Amino acid sequence: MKFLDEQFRELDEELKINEQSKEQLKQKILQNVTTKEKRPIKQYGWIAIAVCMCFIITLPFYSPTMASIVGKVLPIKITPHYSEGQYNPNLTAQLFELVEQEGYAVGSVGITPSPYTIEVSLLLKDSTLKQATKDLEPTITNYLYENGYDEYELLFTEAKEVQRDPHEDEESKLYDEVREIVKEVFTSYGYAEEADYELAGFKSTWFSNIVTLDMPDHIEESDEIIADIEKEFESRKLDIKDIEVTTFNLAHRLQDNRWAYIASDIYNAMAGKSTYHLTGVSYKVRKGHSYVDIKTALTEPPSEETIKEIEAAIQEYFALPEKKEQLQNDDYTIQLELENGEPFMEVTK
Amino acid sequence: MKQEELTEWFDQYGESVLTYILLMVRDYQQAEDLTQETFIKAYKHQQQFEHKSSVKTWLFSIAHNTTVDYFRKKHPIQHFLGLTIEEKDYKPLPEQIVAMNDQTEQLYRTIQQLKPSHRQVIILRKLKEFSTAETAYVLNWSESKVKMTLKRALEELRRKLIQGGITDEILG
Repeated sequence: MKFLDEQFRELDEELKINEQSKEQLKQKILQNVTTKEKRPIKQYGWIAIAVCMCFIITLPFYSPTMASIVGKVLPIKITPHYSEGQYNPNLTAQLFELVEQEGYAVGSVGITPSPYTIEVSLLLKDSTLKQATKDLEPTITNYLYENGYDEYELLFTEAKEVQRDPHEDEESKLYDEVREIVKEVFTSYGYAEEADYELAGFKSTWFSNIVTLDMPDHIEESDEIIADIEKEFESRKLDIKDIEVTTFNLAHRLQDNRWAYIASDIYNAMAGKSTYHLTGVSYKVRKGHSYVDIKTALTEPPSEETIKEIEAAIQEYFALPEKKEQLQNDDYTIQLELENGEPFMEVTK
Repeated sequence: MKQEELTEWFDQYGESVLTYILLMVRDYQQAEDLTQETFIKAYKHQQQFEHKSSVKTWLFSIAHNTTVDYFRKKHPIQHFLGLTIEEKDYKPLPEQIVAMNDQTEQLYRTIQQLKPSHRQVIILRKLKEFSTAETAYVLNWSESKVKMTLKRALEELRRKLIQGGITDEILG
C-alpha cells in the first residue's frame, strides 16, 4: 500500500486548477452572492413559480384571447426541464427575467391552465399598475408571439410583500430537526440512500404536531426504525404528538416522479398555442406502465401534418440521451384526446 | 458574514472542494457549477455552522450533499442503486487542470471508474487526508462504515489498477 499512498499524495498535489480558472470561479461566486443580496425579494418569485409549475386537470375551454396575433406557430419542440446538468428555464422563469430586465421588481409569475392564463405580479414602488401594464404588455406580448404562444390571457397584478409568520418559522425549525433525526436513524440502519429521499412530512395544528413518515416497503427493520425515531424525539424533548407511517414502493415512486416531469414537459411545449387547444394533462403509473393523457378542446382531430409533428416531437424528446437513460425500461402510453375524451393520437412502448 | 470571509474560505479550500467534486462528477463545467453552489450555500447558511467541525470539514459536507443532490436529480435510479455510469468516451483531462504525470493520471482515471461510495471514501481519506471521524461527518456515515467501505474501495481500486496494467509487485 506504500506505493498507493505515495500515488495518492502525488495525485492530490498534481490535481491543480490553473490560476485563471480559479480566479474566474471565485469572481462568479462573489458576484452571485452580491446579486442575491441586492435583490432578496426574488425568492418570493421563485417560490411562486415553483407553485405555479404544478399542473392540474381542468375543465375544457376555448378562449380566443389575442386572436389578433395569428399565424405564427413555431414547430413544436419539447424541452426537458433538466438536461445536460442544468435546469432549462420554463416560460414563467423566462418571463420573470424579461420583466426584471425591463426594470420592474417581480413578486411572482404564474400560469394557470384552462384558460391558459399568465399572471405577472409586480412589486410596485415608484410606478402604478396602469403604467407598468402599459410598459410591459407590448414586450411580453411580443416575446410570447415570438415563441409561438397565441392563445392565452395576460394579467398584471400588484404583489404585496409577504410578512413571515414567526409561528411558521418555529414550525420550520422543528421540521428541520425532525428531518435530520429521520435521516440519521435511517442512515444508522444502513439506508443512507433511501434517507436522501424526503421521508418525513409534518402536520401542524394549534394543538399538536404530527410527523408523517414514508417507509419504503423493502425495509424490514421498520418497527425498530420508528421506535428509534420516537426515542430520539423524546430525548430531544421535541413537541411531537404522534408519528403516522405509510409504506410505499420506492421503484414505483421513482417512476411516478419521472413521469410527472415528462408529462409536464410535453404539456408545456403545447400549452398556450391555438394549434393544439390544450386544456389539461394527467398521468398515472399502474403496474409499471406509465400513462399520460393530454386533453384538448378540439372537437375534431387536427391535420395529419400536425399529428405527425407532435409524434415526431415526442419521439425526438424520448431519443435525447438523458431521457433514454432516465426512462430505463418504462413502458408507456401517451394519448392526446379530443374534447369528448376520444383519443386521436397515441405514442406507446 | 462578510464577503472577505467567503473570499478567505475560497482561497483556502476552493481548489480542494472543486477537485473533490470533479473526481465525483467527472465533468469540469459541472464541478465548477456545484462548487459555486457549495460556497453560496455555505455563505447563506453560515449561521448554522456550529463549529462542531472545522470549516474545511463543514464545507466538504456541503459539497458532498450538493453532489449527491445533483446525482439524485440527474440519475435517480443509478443513484439509488449506487451504480456507476461507465464513461462511453475517453475524455481528455480538463484543460483547466495543470499537467499530470502518466502514472498519476492513470490513478485519477481509475478512481473515477469506481462506484460513488468507494470513490467518495478514497478521495476523502486518501487524497484529502481527512481522518475517519471527519470522513464520517462529511458523508454522514458511521466511523465503522467508513473503515469498512475504505477497505473494500482500496481492494477494488487495486484490482482495477492491475487490470489497467500496473503489476501486483509495484502495488506491494
